[in-house]
Amino acid sequence: MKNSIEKIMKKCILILSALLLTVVINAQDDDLSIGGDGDPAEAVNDAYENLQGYMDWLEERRDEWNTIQNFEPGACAPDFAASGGSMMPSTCAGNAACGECYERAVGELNFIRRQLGRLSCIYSNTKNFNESALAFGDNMSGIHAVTGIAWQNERGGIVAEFNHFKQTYDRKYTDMMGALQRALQGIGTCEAQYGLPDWYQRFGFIYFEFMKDKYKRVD
Amino acid sequence: MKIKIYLFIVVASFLFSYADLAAQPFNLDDRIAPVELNFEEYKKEGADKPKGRISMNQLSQDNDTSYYFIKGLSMYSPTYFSLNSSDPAADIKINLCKENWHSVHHSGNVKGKAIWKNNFKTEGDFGIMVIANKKPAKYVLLVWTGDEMKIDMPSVFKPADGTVSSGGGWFKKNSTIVIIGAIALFIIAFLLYKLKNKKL
Repeated sequence: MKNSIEKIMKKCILILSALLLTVVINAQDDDLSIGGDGDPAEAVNDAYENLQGYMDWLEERRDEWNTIQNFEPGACAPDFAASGGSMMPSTCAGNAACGECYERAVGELNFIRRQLGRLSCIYSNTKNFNESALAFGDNMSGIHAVTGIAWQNERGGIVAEFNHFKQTYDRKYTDMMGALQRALQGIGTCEAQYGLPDWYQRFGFIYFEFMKDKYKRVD
Repeated sequence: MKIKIYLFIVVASFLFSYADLAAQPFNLDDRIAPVELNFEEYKKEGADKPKGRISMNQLSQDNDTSYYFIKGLSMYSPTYFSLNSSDPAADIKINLCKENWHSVHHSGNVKGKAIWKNNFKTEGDFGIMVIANKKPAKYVLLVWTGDEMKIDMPSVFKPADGTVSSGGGWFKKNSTIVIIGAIALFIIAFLLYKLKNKKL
């Protein structure tokens, strides 16, 4: 009887010792973190690791530009579609014989389409940014430290700067249209070699006019 | 290639004038002086080529709110943002803005050892507002932007057959009707001939 009680007591001591040890270890862990700022290098490593995770995710979606969300809702998205009437017939499309000539010319055309889309969105974004800034200033000038007169000066500056920006857009638009025409004439050269003479005059020109209208600043 | 270089110059010069006009969220408060974060090429160890551009910033904040902005972003490139802290006591709120500091497009919190991250595409720039609920706030702010992505553009070409009106276009389009019509005419003519012979 006495032996069995001793055995139970010994077991209890052993269990309690183990518990005590666990508590001490945990207490030491807490002490280490309390008041500490953490390791700055650890934060940097974490940031890089998370970035790597994103890059891996992106690697699987390298051609899926549309899957990436816009920063702001309603942000301008380039519209690359062409109306049915402005689409151009081509003997070179899908014709292996045209090969390199056609691919290079179409590559240039697509590059210009991409840049025109971007240019148009930059204009649209800037216009929205300015309208938003003017509305914000008009609303805030009454209640903010900036007085009404000071805001009117500021406002004039914003309007003048945007007018200057419009002129810049028009100049770049003219340059881009020149490049577009040259790219279409390049396609015309390829078509002339493989069956469609006067391609630019008959078809390329219609697409050119469509693009001229599409990207022309109207406001 | 020459056209591409020329266009690159055209677009780049346009972007410069755009950057002057809308370089950071609009603001009328003189007390807000956003700090510009700068990109540098991101090259991983052992890699041959840089993979996008990165802005890595280890920051300590003693004031309530700090303002940053970063520019030089392309709408065709993916952009990644993260803010993390290794301080267990950290309590940070993050707002990402565009037009002005009052219009918040993305918002998050970092409490303790944690990270808040987001990814998107945008043109030009965006603003970062960091609100420290406990000071000093120590954190790492990272912005990365990749190379421009490939975009599937719809073709502007259609096959030449059927659209080239070179005389035989109508016949080619309506060949079935023409054949059926011809057969019908032949049968009618044959029947008429037979009928006429019978009468005779």
